[in-house]
Amino acid sequence: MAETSQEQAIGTIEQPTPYENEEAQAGFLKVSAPMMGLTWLTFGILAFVLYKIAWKPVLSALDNREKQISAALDEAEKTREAYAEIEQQRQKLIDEADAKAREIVEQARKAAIESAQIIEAKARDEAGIMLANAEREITTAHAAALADLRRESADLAISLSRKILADQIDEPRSRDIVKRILEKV
Amino acid sequence: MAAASTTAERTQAVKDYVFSHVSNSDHWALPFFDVHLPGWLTLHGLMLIVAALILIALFGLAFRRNDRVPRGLAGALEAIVKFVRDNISIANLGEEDGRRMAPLFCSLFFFVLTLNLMGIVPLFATATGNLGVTTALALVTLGVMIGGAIYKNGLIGFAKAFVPAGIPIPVLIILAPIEFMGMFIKTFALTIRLFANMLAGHIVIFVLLGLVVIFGGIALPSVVLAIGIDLLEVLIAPLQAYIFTLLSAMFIAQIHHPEH
Repeated sequence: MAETSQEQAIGTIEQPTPYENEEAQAGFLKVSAPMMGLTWLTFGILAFVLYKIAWKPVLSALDNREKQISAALDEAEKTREAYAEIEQQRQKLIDEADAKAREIVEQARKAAIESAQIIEAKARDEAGIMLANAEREITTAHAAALADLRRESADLAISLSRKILADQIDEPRSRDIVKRILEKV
Repeated sequence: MAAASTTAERTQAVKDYVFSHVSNSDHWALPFFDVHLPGWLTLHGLMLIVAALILIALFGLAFRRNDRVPRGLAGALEAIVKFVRDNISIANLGEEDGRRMAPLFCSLFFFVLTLNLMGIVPLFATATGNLGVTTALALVTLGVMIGGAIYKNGLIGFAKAFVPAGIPIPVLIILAPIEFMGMFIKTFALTIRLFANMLAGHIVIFVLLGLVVIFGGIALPSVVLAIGIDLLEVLIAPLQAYIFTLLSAMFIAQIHHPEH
């Protein structure tokens, strides 16, 4: 039964044509000159056509792209160097500006201190002068006030005495008495 | 005895079938009809033409637009072209000669690759399993070796390639002919390597499948092996194209730059 199914399987094998039998049995080790000629012809035409439509544009595009990439990388390197230089200059400028600012601030601080000292000295001088003036004015006013007080007191005493002694003592004598009294005050 | 005779017949039938399928033919067996080829054209010859047309169509379509940055198929093909140029041509022949000869190696690589791959596609046949095809392709390499060396170094320079420097004359008498023969042996090795690799894979697959026909269902596991070999063929196809192109570049470089 199994034998029959195998026979059927053989039956499905496509039987080689006489040409195939001859060629196959003659061996596939045979080198056919027409086949070589056809291979050269096909390969020659293919290589020419592909050179025109593929290799030439593709390889030149690759070359161009490599050059562009190389140029772009060089450019990037130059840009990076320029940027580094600019950054260095910027840092230098910042440092200089910083130093300048510190110097200005220091100078301003010194000037401010000097101004403050001058102003303080001036104020102190002015205050001294004002104080001296005030003291002098006070002394003057005090003396004037004392003189006024003496005079007013004398006048008041005279006036009072006049009223009290109006009729008892004559005026010059009274005046001398008052004067003596006042000198004792 | 009768069973043994039947097995022998089946074996013979499988053998005939295998040989007929790996050999050249005068017709193209398609699923529902046979295309009988004209007298000047055989199946492998037809495969050469089909491979050339496929390549022209493929590259023509892929690079029909001159994109600044290729995408998709064009990008993939360009990557392979770049690989062939850099890793095969320039790597062996140097910057100047490598760039100049890159188109030749690209043509060789893609042609052999397409022929190899067609062998594992149903309906097509393996033209690189034909000794005439591989011989012709190897002779292209030999032609470039000899012609290029004479063009580049002159006849004397070409002859000097077989006379290594610093070798005593008595040794040279033996060595120079060996070097000269070596040039043809290399070409022959190139021919046989591609031919045998492509043919052997297909024979193994057919034989493994034929085991089922000879021994019946018990040999069914061999189908799995056949599938495995078929998958291996997918790897072998580009590998052999690469090896053929790489060795061509190496042989050409050796004779173009004998000082290296």
